[in-house]
Amino acid sequence: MKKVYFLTLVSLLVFLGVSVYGGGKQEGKGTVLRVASSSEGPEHIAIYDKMIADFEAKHPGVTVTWDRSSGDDYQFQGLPSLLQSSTPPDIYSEWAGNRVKNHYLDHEAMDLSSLADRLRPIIDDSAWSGAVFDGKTYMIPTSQDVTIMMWYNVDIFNKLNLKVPKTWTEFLTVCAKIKEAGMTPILMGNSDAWIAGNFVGLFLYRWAGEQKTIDILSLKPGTKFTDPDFVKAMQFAYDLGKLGYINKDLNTLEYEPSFARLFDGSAVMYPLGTWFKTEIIQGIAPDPEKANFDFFNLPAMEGGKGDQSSYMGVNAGFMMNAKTKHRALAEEFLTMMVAPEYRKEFAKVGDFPSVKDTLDPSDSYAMKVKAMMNQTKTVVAPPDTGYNLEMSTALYQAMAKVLVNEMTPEAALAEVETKISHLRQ
Amino acid sequence: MQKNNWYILYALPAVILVTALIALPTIFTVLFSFTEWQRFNITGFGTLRHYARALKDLTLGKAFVHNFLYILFTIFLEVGAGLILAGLVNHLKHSIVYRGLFFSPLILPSIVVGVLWRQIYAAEGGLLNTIIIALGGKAVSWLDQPYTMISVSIVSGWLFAGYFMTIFYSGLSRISRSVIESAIIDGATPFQVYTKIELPLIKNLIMLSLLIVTTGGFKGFDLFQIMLRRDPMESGIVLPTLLVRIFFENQDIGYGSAISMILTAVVVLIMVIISLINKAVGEVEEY
Amino acid sequence: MRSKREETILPHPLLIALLVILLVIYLFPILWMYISSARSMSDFVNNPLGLPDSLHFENYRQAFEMANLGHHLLISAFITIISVLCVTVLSSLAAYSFSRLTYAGKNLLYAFFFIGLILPVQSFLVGMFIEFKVLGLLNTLSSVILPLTALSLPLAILLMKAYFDTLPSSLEDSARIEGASTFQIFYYIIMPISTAIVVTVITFTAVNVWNEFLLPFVMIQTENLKPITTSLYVFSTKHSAQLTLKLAALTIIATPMFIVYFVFQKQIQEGITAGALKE
Repeated sequence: MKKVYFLTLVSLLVFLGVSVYGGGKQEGKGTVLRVASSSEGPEHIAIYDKMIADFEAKHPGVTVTWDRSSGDDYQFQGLPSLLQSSTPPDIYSEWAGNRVKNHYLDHEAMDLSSLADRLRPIIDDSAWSGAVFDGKTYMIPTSQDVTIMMWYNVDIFNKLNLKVPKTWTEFLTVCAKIKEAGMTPILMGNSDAWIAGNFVGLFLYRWAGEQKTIDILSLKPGTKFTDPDFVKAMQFAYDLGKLGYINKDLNTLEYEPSFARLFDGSAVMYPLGTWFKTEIIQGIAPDPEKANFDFFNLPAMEGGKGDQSSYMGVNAGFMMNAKTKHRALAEEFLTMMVAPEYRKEFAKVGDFPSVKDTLDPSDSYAMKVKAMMNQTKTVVAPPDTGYNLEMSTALYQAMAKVLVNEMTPEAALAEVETKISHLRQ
Repeated sequence: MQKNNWYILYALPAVILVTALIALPTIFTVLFSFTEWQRFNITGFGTLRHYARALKDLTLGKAFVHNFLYILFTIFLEVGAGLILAGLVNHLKHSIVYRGLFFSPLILPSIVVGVLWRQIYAAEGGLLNTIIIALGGKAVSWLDQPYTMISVSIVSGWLFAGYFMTIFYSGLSRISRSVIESAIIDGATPFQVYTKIELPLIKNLIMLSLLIVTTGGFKGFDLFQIMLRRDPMESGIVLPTLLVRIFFENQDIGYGSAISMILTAVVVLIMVIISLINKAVGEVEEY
Repeated sequence: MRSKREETILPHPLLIALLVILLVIYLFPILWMYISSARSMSDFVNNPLGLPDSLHFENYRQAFEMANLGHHLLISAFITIISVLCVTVLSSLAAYSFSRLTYAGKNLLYAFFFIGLILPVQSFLVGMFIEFKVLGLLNTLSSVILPLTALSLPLAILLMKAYFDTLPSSLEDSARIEGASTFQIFYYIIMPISTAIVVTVITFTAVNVWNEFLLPFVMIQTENLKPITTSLYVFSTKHSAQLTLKLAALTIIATPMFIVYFVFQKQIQEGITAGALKE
């Protein structure tokens, strides 16, 4: 009988030991400041590592751990789970807009207004958009990005005597000429749905106007996805597919393998963001020196109600966990993150920091992007970062189907409406 | 052995564990399916809203269809294949070698199987397409519509045909030799022996296998998640992956719980139905 | 209880040929994995079906480092060892009591475990997640060890009870006459002759726990604590261009499993199919 008790006790102890071990595995020595983000390129990580080293040097006894393990799953599963765990991050990266708002609604976001006021002088005004709710600031922006530009193969354009199109009509003509020459005008590797989602998303803003698009995507009462302006905007996408200007296998083509067709010359244009220059050309192109690519903003849609010079961009930054036990430390770390000396390093590897005067004036590419950013006041948010994720998933599916002409715009948007109806309550 | 109620302590640790980790969470899930949530905070109780939503949910319907397709395909690719393999292997010398080899894929972690087959099925540079192109055909995106379900089912069959083969073999190997020998003397072909004598004798094993494959068809998660990943086009969405998506991406605890309950109800229902069919079909000679 | 007839009585050559062909096709993916993992990437891209020109063992070393396999293998090992220990101890105690002892509530409790066998994981996954969140166990190894142990118990108990049932009670009677306590009988008489079934339980529990994907996928998000299954998942999504590297990682994981399998083939097959048969 005693032995039974003994064994039961042993079993319980083992479990206790396991829990302690499992929990204990997290703790380092002294104070730990936890940061979380999705995966980053090695150059970025190198700069952050330097930042961490400098910070730890200034604060002996403090260890900074940075969790990038979730990778692509960060926005869907990684961050939510990390925040729910018993060792949540003190600082975490986010995109401006709806996602920041959700954290604020979930009491996961610390009010950073006073810190923001101190940092305002060194950060571009436009970078704060999407970081402020109810008059309070919840995110410190570190970078601004353009997510959709039409990248094109300069050599092929020159060979076919094509000029950068400024209007949609000109754009269609360019596509026609490319198709005639036997190449794919527009290429996308859309198996994750967000490339076409961002691309066609910009059509929505341009055609239906910014305010209406924001209202519909925000599920404002009284709005519908089947709004005629949305239908017409999607019609542009449908027509691109019908005219054969897009690769038919876009929805099954994976992101990384897709660029092979761009670099072997079988496709000419690719809608992607600023990271094309750095990640794609440097990281994926077989011969970065020979890759001669330039970009233009989405051409103006004649008759569109929106600002035709607008671009789709996303502000990114870092937020502080409302439940953090190391507020002062975290604030200091956040301040360090936007220090110009570090952000200049980021600019060198292709970032567009939110911090003023960090871009290298001799970098013609960066200057050209900055010029594009500066020539408009209208930055529109991608559906998946600026709004409800469930909605954007449904919308992106609709766009994917419309581009391959699997559904008409009306039917596709009606399906979106059905799918998100439960969110409207 | 006299009764001594203290003996319950032998079983108690196991019982406590299973209660705390399986029974309680199940009860919680049931309760949660009737609860209103704002992310991770409870805001109300006693609602049927989630179930009402489930009835209208297109994606849920799609997931069900996919599950049924999966079950249909795997009945052939797992159970059917297992029957064929067991029949082929049953009377052979060194059957243990063959059986060992056919069973072996099941030993692998699902991650290995999933990543390997994802590479086999890959649209660009995948093994299958390479072979097809070499034979003069056109490459196909095997993990997308309309091939998704059959492609995943084939992998499932690759994994589990050996499993069912082992189950059937254990039944077939017990059939007395004399029965078979007399049948052959009477002039029966191997095929006839198989279909008219051996199969009927393992009828209850076949029923059992159908039970396993249908309930398993609703539980399969790993292969779908690993080969299809986020699957934004929902070409291979099934109930378990849908559940994970609803719960983790959309953080919808109420709806996720409702779907869990629906899934459980379906599985239990199938078990009940098949058990009843089994009883109705009648008892088969025990071994 | 297989009959020992190994001779063919229906040796249709065509059937054997069919079987061999099936076998080759069946094992082809695994062969391909092994062969391709030792090739260079440029080779592989040109001809995925080719043989290695030379054995690129650096693929394995690279995969080991980049995927941090050593660390994650240790995590998997830790999870597996703890779970197997607990399952073995608890299930043998419980099964013994169900088989050889009498007490109030015995049948009820036994039936309780049966239900645990039937329930799909998805029934309680959501509830378990919230439960762990409240207890602060998310993102710890316990969040995986505890459920896996609990999930392995019903089958283990089933198997062990079935085995204990076959033991004659005469074994215990003589011991009792000598004044042995129940636990002494359990520990010194019953268990020593149960090594075969214990090995079976250990083996298939270990395999199931080692291969588990869903639970760590849902419960553990920090890289450090991921077992080999989920950490490979992240690895495979990150390096989509380097196929030979991925295949190398897969072979590193698969090979020990095959070795374990060929040693313990009987136990593994028995364990995995016994649950089904006993139903």
